[in-house]
Amino acid sequence: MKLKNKTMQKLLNKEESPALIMVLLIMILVTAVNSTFVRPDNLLDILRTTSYNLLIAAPLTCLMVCGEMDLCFGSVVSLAGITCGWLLQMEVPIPFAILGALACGFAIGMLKAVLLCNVGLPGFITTLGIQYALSGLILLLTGGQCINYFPESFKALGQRGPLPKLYWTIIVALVITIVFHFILSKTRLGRSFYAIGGNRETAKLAGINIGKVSMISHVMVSVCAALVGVFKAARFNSAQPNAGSGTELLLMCGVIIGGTGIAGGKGTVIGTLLGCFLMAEIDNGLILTRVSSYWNNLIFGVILILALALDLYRQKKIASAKE
Amino acid sequence: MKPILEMKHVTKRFPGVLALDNVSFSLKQGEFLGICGENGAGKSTLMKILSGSYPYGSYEGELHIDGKPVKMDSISTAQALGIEMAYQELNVMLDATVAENLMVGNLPGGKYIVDFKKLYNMTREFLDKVSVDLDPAQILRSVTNSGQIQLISILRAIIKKPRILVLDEPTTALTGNEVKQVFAILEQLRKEGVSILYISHKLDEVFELCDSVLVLRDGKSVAFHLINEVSQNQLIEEMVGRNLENQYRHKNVSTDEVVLSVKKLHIPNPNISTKNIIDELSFEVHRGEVFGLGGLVGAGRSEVLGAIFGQLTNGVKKIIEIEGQEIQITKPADAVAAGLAFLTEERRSSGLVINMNIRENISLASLKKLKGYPAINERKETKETGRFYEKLRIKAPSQETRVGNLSGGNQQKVVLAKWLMTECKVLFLDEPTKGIDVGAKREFYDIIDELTQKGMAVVLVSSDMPEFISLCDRCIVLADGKAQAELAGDEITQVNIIKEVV
Repeated sequence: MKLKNKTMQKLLNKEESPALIMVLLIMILVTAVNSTFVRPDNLLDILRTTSYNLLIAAPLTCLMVCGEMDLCFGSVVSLAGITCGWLLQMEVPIPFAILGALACGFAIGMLKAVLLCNVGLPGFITTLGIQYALSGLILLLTGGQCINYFPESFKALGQRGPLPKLYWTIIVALVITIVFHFILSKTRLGRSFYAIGGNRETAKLAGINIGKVSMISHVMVSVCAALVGVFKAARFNSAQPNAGSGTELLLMCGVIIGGTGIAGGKGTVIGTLLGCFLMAEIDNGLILTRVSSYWNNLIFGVILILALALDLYRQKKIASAKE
Repeated sequence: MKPILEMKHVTKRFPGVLALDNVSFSLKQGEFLGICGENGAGKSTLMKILSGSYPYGSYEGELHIDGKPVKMDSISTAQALGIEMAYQELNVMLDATVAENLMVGNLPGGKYIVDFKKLYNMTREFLDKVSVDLDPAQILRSVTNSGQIQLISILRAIIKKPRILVLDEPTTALTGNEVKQVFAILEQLRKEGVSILYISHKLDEVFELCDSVLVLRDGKSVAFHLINEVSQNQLIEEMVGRNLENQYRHKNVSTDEVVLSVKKLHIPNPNISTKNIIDELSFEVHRGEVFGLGGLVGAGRSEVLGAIFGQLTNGVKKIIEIEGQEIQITKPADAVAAGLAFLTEERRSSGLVINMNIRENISLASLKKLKGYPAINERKETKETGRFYEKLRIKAPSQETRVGNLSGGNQQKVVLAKWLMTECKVLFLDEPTKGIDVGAKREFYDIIDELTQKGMAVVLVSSDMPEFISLCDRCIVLADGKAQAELAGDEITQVNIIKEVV
């Protein structure tokens, strides 16, 4: 009994625990209806869906821990995919085409960072403005048309992997996740993210260069979003003008489900991994249990609120345990 | 004549502090009563009880109005009884009109719609009566004269026709002529039978305006005088008291070597364009010295520290030299790199990161020293922060405890440990023992002794007078944006300091 109490206490102290509980809960529920759910190839399918979200959500976690806000990475996904597509059509070698797409992400990240951190515009509205402007720009540039038919070796990026079903996307996403987990938990930069999000004034007085640190967080998200644009183009053999639209709030929700606070100062990349896995799990579970996909948004919304409620309950428990 | 207001045996406690200790006084109709006392004497607590901010039941004792006991549970009940207050801070709506500012809370008109014509007429009538030359429809932001803005926060209380008016330092932003204007209005109120409680550090004003004066010290009412039966010097002595036998006295180990030199420090007032918080201030701090910035709350002591450190930048001009070398400090990072450290007054809002544990808080300003590329060298970090954790005897289960769970004194030690870890040359302390208990205070003083013996210079701001006097080797007294006096050693006494500011 005592041991159980201790484990419970440990679980309570982790901000990832609400997400973990729900991941397991849904796993059990869906498996009870359809046992194919837990088969390795299905789990890999879920991981594949997860990886596209995770590639952005991992750096986004750092950005949100820092107390910043980004609502334009979806349009960066689309723009980078299209840039990559054009470069490929001009028969630029594949590595350079990918670099071009990443450079495009870097440029938008810098623009965003300068507007927010140097000029001092408010993050929410400014990044929303960039989102609209970019999606408009994309439509103007493409005329709303997709760019199709890429070289085989480029398509392989999104459609193949070292083992069947273990796609390159999954591997890259896991590597990126580990990198950002390391940055956030072990490095000076990561410590600065927590300090700035936790208490801006204290961080400033401690000599942390707030402008530079938040700038880095913005550039990281945009570059990773560009990478997702490349992977998506490869997977569908088509760079689409709306490849990333509408993912901004969805991914922020995924990060929040993982225990990151919207006000900054707390959160982990592991939690975000769970949050993103949970979202893909719901999609997949609905298909396997033959529930109409119309249920998707409803369930996701309920889960989001449930995660916040669980987190509140957890914090109250901790507070009362102290007294 | 029967008193209009009586306060009977009022005692107000805060955790660990007795803010008011059995205070009684009475106020007659048309009487102007001055209330004097040092910082922390209990003046603002008294005021908050009168205004209903501290509701009935949160203090012991009784309030009587017209001889009947009253239980005020909010500001609005106090207002219904005819008690109005004008606050020291300029709490006005800059983007509303003069009339709206004056009449906020009882704008004329129906339930949903404001009758602006009536509003302006009523305000015009009132302004004419008190002979203040302002346009009711003018937006306050365009009233460039700051004195007029402070005047508005006083008029806002007067327009409600109170029976008892409480004024807290009403003249801080006013020039000589404007003070006269305010006094003329108050004299008019006297004729109408309004009673006034006048809280001020400026004894000249108290003597000019008031009929009687109540002296508070350490939460107790120590004296009551009719104004023509008392002298300024007697009042000062009563405000200060004579309980100065301190067991603790900081040992002076200061040297002649100048560590920090500040020249021509200039800090403009962000709200008042014509007035500066600090005007052309220059001073030097020596190695091993505890240098004090004395003065009253609001004299700009904390602002001086913030401006030097690069926390405050708007319009600040300064020349800073550290160990003889001129240094540009445009942001706190520059100050930290140059060897300055700043323990601020508000540890929760600018000293700690509450979500982090003790270790992470202590190392926050020294992360550059823990380089183990690419990650932080955690073993070295734990060892280094552990040194300060043990040396300052921070009481917690371990270094991994979140600082939000610590007591105030231990939190303060964490902030101090953070700055000591930077191996700073000059340590700024702003109210370093605010809200911490006596035992922890004493430990704090011992630490300061040890630091100065090792050659660190300390710049101290403290409203705790005995603490200020016993710690400082040398100090300047700030008032009206300037250093009014420099005192050293035995010259630093409460009486000498107060004399410079009243």
